[in-house]
Amino acid sequence: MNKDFLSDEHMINRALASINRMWAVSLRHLRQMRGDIGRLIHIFYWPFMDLTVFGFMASWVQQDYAQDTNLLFVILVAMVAWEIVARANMDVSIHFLEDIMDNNVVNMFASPLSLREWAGGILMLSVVNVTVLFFFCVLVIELLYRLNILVIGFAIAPFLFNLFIAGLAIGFFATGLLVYFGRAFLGVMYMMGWFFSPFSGAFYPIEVLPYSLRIIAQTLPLSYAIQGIRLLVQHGTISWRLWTISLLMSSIYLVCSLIFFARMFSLSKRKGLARLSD
Amino acid sequence: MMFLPALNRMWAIALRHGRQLYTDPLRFLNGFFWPLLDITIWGFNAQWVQQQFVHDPRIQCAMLAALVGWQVARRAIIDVSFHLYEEMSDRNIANMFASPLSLVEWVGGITILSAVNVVATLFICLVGIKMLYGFNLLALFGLSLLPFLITLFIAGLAFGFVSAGPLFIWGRRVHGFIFVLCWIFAPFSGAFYPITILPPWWQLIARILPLSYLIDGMRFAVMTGIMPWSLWSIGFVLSLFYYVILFAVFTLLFMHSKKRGLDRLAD
Repeated sequence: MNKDFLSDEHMINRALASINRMWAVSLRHLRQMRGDIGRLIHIFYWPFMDLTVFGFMASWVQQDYAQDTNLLFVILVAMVAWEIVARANMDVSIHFLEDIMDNNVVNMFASPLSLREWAGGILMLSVVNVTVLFFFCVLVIELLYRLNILVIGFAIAPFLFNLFIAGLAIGFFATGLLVYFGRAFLGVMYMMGWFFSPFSGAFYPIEVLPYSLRIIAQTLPLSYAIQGIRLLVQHGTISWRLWTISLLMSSIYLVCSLIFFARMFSLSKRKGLARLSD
Repeated sequence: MMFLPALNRMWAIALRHGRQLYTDPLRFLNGFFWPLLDITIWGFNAQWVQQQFVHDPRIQCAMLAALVGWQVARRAIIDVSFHLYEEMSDRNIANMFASPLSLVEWVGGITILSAVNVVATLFICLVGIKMLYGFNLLALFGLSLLPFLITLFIAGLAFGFVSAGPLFIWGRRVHGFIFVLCWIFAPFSGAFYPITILPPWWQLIARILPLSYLIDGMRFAVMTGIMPWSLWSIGFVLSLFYYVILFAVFTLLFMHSKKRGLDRLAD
């Protein structure tokens, strides 16, 4: 074997080239986002709508029935948490869909870009989007309700991180189906994230669910992480137990859905990626 | 019997979209997933609020009834705009209006189809509410809320023309606006909270739209058992007013667009 092939310099160059390709994937989608109203709507309009309808509902209940509680604040923070899950999920699947729509999937994977690098690129992009989204939500809440959710401090960050991972897990699972079934799957893709929402505990604590639905909620990391956030907001205590459970579950789900995605991709590749765009 | 061919053409439009809607499993799923999701999220939310904060057994029922009202309006809005989008993306729009079909007949056909869809949506909502929360809205209120629901349907069709407007100007590329322009009415509809909680400016917008009167009326009827006919009449008059105005604008946009060539809308 050629010794030079394994030299440090060679490895570093390879890693750099790989990172470069990931960055290219992020950039390809970020550039397209600029000036495209449809895409900006996806990032900003729907979270805004969610924060509006749920926020005013909560402020109505708080004002008319529960003045001595912080119901509004709790609901808004849980909504922001859910928006992060939804964003991470959609970032993965919608950008793959975009490549399908643009007839770009075949070209993209005919290039040296590997599936792993594509996922890495989307990850970078999603980190950017989620950060922007978070501060956008903070701003909307400040403007509409005169509340500053940043007062919770950095303690919320570990929980949001878990939710981000869980969102990616849903996203890669949905994309695994998308990569196999193609455009026909579009309608279901939008439902995928929302399918988990009743079990996330973002809109109400999961204790309110009937037993059978609560069981489903308990198998998902979302409910633990959002419960942790609720505890943090209501009592100011960080429950590391809930954090660990949700981190473990999110990571396991993410690994599983990445494997699923890779498997579905190779199955689909064998059948020909060009068929996806029909 | 001048109107029989016209009725026939309306029925053809209803059938053309109805067949697609009720035989394609994905479209069908789309039709009942979103109402059911709303029922689930808002219903459990209302249950939690009722148990923890309000202690008034009517509040969940009132919130769900208001939500059902919004589902009717939403369905009608989406039906008008989404089916227009479909005509464009199927490259059917130029052919369709080259036939004897007039725009009024197209709207008539969509109205028939949408009425069926709304009844199906109501059925799904009622079954969902019965299964998840154990109460039967139909048994509790019978058909007394029907005037409100029918008026919401008319208002929904009227705002459907708003949601479909951009399609006639910019074509199918702007299909994202269908859902955006549908939901833009949601915060002002009073479906999720009484509009009095809104900031003054928002309230002003809510008050000039018929949705808030109708949905407020439904909530009032559930909470007190008295039918607020004054709210209904305001809502009814406003709905008719908006229907006439917005249909006129829709027709103008269509004629303007026809002059520039309908086929360009499909690009």
